[in-house]
Amino acid sequence: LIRSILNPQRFMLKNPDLLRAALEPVVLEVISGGATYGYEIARAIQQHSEGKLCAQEGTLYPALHRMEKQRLLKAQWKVSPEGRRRKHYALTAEGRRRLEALRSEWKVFSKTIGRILGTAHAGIARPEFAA
Amino acid sequence: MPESPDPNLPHEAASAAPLSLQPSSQDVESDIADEIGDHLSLSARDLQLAGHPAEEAHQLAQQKFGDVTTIRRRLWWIQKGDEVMLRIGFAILLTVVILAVAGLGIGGWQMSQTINDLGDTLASMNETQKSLLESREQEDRPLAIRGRLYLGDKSRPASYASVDVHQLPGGKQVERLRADEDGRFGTSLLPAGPYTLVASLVSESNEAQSSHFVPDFYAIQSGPISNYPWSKDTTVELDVSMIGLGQVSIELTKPLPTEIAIDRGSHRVTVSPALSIVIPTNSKELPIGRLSDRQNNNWPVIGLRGLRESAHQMVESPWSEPQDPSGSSKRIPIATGKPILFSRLPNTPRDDVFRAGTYQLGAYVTYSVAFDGRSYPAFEIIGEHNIAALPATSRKSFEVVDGRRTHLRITPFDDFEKSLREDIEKAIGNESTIDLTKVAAARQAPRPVKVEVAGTVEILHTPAIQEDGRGLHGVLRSGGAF
Repeated sequence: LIRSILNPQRFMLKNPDLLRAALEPVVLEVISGGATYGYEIARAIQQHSEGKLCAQEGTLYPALHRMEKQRLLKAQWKVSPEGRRRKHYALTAEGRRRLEALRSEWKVFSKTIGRILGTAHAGIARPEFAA
Repeated sequence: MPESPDPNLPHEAASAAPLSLQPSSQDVESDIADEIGDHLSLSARDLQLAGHPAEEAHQLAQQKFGDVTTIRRRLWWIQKGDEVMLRIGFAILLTVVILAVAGLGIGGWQMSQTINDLGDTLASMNETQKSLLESREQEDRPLAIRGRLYLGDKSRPASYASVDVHQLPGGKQVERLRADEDGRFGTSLLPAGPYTLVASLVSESNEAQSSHFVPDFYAIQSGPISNYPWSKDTTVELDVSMIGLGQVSIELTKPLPTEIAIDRGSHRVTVSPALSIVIPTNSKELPIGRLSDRQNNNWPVIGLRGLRESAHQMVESPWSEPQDPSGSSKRIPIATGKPILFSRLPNTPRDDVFRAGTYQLGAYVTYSVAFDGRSYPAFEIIGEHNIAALPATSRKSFEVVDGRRTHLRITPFDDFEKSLREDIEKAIGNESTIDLTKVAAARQAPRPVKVEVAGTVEILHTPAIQEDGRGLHGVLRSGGAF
């Protein structure tokens, strides 16, 4: 899912609306893959996206907190090996259901958009302007 | 080898003891500050490990993060916005009810009392609302940290002790103060944020300066102090009592391999080992200083980097990297067979100073993995509480003796590179396609090393001492050699 979303051929990754829409499934996917705290999640997204998503790492946190509010994520405070308090996130049952739904939705969405964009490139005539 | 109880979580996460399960509403601001602070610290640490100097690493970490104040405000509204909106909604509802009741003409004294009460409630809610908004506006207001230093007993002030104020994360020194005769001090107005204080006092008496003067050196470091308008208390009391101090030096006897490459079909996995050293602190008897945080947990504070970031784990990577011949490398050159003093780390002039006592050191090698150019950093999986999980040869008790330096030796086992290669090859299997999950899991197995205590030598204090009529003040420096 992450590779598909982050395929630079499909998205202009600087578009904030697209980024916002992509962030929720990406974060859920990364957490389901084992990343648990903010920095680790940011790093995993960074690695998978080769730095094309989440250029400002701080933008991740509002998404995490919103999803926690929506009960898609549950949070737990622990002490890190460095002695700092660290907030760990995990998917709730609802979060897992949401991720499954988003995966299916994304497949349909990306296929549809791909088809339209592909058609456009294949030769829908553009209006010609008179000189 | 320690195993993670939950394979889906990194070991450190799985083994750490939970604190409170949910942040209380009162602590929302502090929780947000802690969460962002943790991110920035980890980011800066990784940037430092990648070769950036400490100062630059912290600036880069902040740049990568974005506008901290804006993010903090957004998080606060996500957490508390519902509550605020609910209050506003409730206030509107109350107003409507009052008007409706008044409009129905149900008057009389009792009614007016009720309306007065409702009015008071409304006013108090408005006040609460106003103060909430004001607190947001004032969050960047500069504040001062005040406190008092004493020696063992609160009736015995640490007169004229020095106080260094360090900003966290990173530990940049922002101010140096001198306490007054009663041991009281106050900083200038500092930007809101976390800080730590290092208070020190070198000798109370006017002893004559000599080339081999050995001062009584008192030092203490506070735990992190949250200097925010909503912080409950930024008044600090520190006991700068007489404590014996010694030093620790560590030697890596053989270089670690810089990189091991394993090819599978058209893919390449490269493994970069790094040495991790853990010196657990004892939260009941802290090595240098102590301060209780808001949850009454003592912050363990120790020499090493701990003096700057309250960490009790030092990770240096890569130890085996040769020094850049152009001289542009910012990494610390690690010479085989020579002591590695903690004090040689950037911005850590006194970090090799330990309170006299018994400690335990555990050492192991972790490794970061790169798969076709994508890197997966090493997991730091041995925390303060599970050092006992290391093999006995990889941990050692040692004494820090007042006025002496204890020298420790760390030796990778003879077949280190061969066995590491074999283990990685085993983890990724022989298939032509590399399973990334197996590669990631392989990072969680630390490699043992051999730890020995080589001996102790007397610390020679160079006379970097100044006399100012109030006593002798100066910086503890070490000489001596093995």
